[in-house]
Order: sequence, then structure tokens, then C-alpha cells
Amino acid sequence: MASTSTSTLSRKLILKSSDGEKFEVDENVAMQSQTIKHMIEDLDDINSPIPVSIVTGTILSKVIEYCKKHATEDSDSDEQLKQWDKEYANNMDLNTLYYLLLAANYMEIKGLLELITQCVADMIKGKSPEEIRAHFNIKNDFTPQEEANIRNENPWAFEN
Amino acid sequence: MPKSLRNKQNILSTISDSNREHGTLPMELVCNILSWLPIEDLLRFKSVCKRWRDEINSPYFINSHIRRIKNSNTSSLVIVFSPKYNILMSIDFHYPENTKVRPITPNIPLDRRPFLIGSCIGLLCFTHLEYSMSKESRSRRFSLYNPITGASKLIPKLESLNPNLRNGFGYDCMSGDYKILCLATDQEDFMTTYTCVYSLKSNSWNVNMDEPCPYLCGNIPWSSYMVFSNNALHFIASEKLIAFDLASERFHEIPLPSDQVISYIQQFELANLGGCLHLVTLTDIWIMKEYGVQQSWTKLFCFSQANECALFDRTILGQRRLTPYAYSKDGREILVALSTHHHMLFRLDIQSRESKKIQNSSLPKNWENWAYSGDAMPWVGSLTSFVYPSF
Repeated sequence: MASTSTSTLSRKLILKSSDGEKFEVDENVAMQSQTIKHMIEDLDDINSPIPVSIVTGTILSKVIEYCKKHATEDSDSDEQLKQWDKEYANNMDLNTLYYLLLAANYMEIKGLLELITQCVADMIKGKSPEEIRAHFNIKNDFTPQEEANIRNENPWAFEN
Repeated sequence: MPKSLRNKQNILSTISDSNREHGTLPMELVCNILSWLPIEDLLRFKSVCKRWRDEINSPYFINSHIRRIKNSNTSSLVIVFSPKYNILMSIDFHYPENTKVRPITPNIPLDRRPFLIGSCIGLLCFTHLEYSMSKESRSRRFSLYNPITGASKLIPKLESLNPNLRNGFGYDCMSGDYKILCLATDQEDFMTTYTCVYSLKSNSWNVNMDEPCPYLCGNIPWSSYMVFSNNALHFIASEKLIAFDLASERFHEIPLPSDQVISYIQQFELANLGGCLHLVTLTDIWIMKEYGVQQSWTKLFCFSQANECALFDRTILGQRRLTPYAYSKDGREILVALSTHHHMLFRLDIQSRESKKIQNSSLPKNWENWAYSGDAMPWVGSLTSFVYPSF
């Protein structure tokens, strides 16, 4: 297999998404996922596709985009990388962010997990409980009385 | 496939199958998200559903939130205690319209002259006087208070010692424990001082005879409180900057900026802003950019060049107390309180040297006359309770 990267380490791996899409990536890109790192250690034949079974192709391509950027980080300053992270996360809708969160958690990519977690936290800051229920698709299981009690317990939070 | 991985895959495929399209996230991830939120959001989100309420109330979550606050160093909140009216006010430098005023409810009678000695990761530490049955002698007691939850706790008495010198309050990251440092004297022999450390986890005092505070012979200013930073409490004594490490429970000296500062040092203030120690002298504000490194002290602001004369009024120079509380979001301005006979808040622009008095319509009208100096400090809310699990 011809190497397209300048990296001397660049063995190629094939990642296969839950919907069967295949992605060829440099080993150092894929190794940012602890899960894949452990998988490779156990594999005899690295030429066979590695299943990333709960992640769809659409999400996996976004994960790979992040890993590629962070695999070659020495070309960018910390500041530039932060800026890139910010733009990367800001371009996602909430639904994509949820699936990315699940993917980053499953694939154990610490930086991505933290980035998306913070991004979701920023999105829900200042929201009302009703808005949160709609966002996360949560059913309100309190009686109106119970809910009123909780609000009264915490007057610092329900002003304005 | 390794076994751990297979397990994980099973768990996650179950989650994703049952929650397709806009599904609920696993609680572990929700918890991570919540731990990034400020306290106001957390209190409000307790009413989202029972699962969220239980999670936010759980000791595990409270501790992970504490860890997050501890590492962020970006609080813009100041809490002001008025012993005169027994109220607390929190002011948000970033969002001044969010000012909140609340009656305080720890059970300290006002005639016991309570005052605030420290604020650390959600808890406030007060001290007040206590009289003996015959009223012949009096001693000092401590109490902790969480203004968010209203929980309070009276600290056990320090037996047969006079805890009347200097006190400090902080959070030891090593043991995950809130601690009070009290430099006490013997009831008979006022020249002997003892280093006493209260631990919230053990709910007891440890009197360490082998570690006397080495610098008590000098004149210790009463007015200023000990400043918590880098897991240590800091104060100035005998013209030296002293640190008491909360993990090792030992004193050591931290270098001060330069010789000319030292001769004035008795009157000055320490502060922790953005995780760095700041020193306010008669003429300047200094920042120690790298903890413990003398060369890293940098002059941040010079009052004589400020265009607000109140900050450098020579007639009040000796009586004034100037305390920095927070940086603005962009880091260009510092919020300071000037206390003489009353309180005033200023924002100082570091670059342009301009200073502006803060006129905040949401502050109570008479608040400038409220507090004695020293009863305002940086603050951040947490859900810390007084029941401790060990992690």
C-alpha cells in the first residue's frame, strides 16, 4: 500500500463503521483512540478492517477529522489548535454532538470527549428545565407539587 | 477482542438501540456535562427529572463538581457579608445585573460579633465569640456555611487554647478535605503559640506542637484574612510572605517581589485571582505568575498613574484597604474594592490605567455602609454538604 503521509510510522489501518463504510487512516491518527489502540494490540492481521460497531459513517468521518488534526498538532500552535477545536464543535447541531459524544466515549478519545462535553454544557447554560427536557428528550416525572417544592428549596436559582 | 472492550460494546449498543434519534445520553455522560455548569444551572436542573435530581444531589457528583471548580480558577463572584444586617450579597463581575441579596441563616447571634474569615469552593468560614457560663471568659468558635444549600455546621471547640490570633480556611486537594488553620495561644502563657488544624472529614482539631508558626513575633495585621492558593494558606507576618501547606501542614516562606516593597508590607493585601497570588502594596498591584518564583513577580497596576484620585488619596492611604476580587472575562480589567469608612467597587483597566467606579443599580442603596472591611471575598458556589463520603 502506498504511503501518502510524510510520517515514517504510517502504517495504514481500515476502520469500518456500523453501517459498513470503510475509512483508511494512518495508524498514528487511529491510535488517538485508546479503544482502537487496544484492539490493534490484540490483532494479528492489521490489514483486515477494524469494526467500530456503534459509530455510523457520518459520525466516524467527523471523529477522523478531529484525530487527523490532532495527530499533526506540532504544525500548529496551541492557540491555533484551540481555535480549530472551537470552529469544529460550533459547526455541529445538537444531534450530531450527542452521537459524537457517544462515539468519543466509546472510542476513548479524551480530548474529543472533553471538547464536546464542554460544548454541550455551553449550549444548555441558562436554559429552563422545560427547554432541557425538550433538548434531551426527557419526561418530567415530578408531580406539580414536587416540582414546586424543588423550586422553593433553591431560591438562588429561580430569580430573574 | 479484549474482554473489557466486549463488555463496553454490549453496554453501549444497548444504550444506542434503546435511544435512537435524539435519545437520552447515558447518565455518565450527562454527569460530565453537568459538572461544567455553574451552580445556578445545577440547582435549576434538579427539577428536570428525578434521575437528574438524584444525580446532582449525589456525593459523587458534588465531588466531581468541586474538582472542576478547583481547576477552573475563573470565578467572577464576590460575596459580601454584612454583620450589621446579617445578610450576604453575591455580586457577579461579569454579569452585574445578577447581584443577589440573601439573609444569612447560620445560627450565630449577632451580639457574638461574627465575621467572615474565608471562602473556599462553596463554603464560607465564620468565626464568632462565645462566652463561658459565668461570662468571665470568652473564646472563639468557628462555623461553616454553604449559602447555596443553607447548610451550616458549628465546629467543635478548641479545648484549653485561645484561638484568637490568625485564622485561615482552605481546601486540601490531596486529601479532598476542607481545613481551618488556627494559630492559637495557651490560655496561661500568651507567648506560646500552637498550630491547630481542623479537618472537616474527621470533624476534629489536630494541635501540632512540633510546627509552631515561626514568624509570629512580628506584628501581624488583624485586618487581612489568609489567602488560599496552590493548596496553601498565605499571610504576611514579620514582613515575610508565609505559606502554610494544607497537605503537609508545614509553614514555609514564599519570596516577595523586591526589597523596596518589603518596608511597606505590613499594611498590605494578598489575593488569589485566576489561581495566581496577587499582592497589593501602597502603590501597586503585583502578580506572581509562577508560584514560588521570585522573578515571576510582575507589576500589574500602578495607582499613582491611575486617573481616579480616590485610589491614591494620600489622606486615606494608611487607612485604606484595597482588595482585588476578579478579572473581567477578557482579562483586561480587575475588579477591586476600596474600603475606607465604606465600600466602593472599581474596575481597573490594566492597559490604559483607567479606573471606573462601578455604579450598579442592582446593588442595595445603602450597601456601601454595610460591611466592615474584610468581609468581602471571592466566591464560587458548590453543593458541598457536611456529610462526607471518602473518595
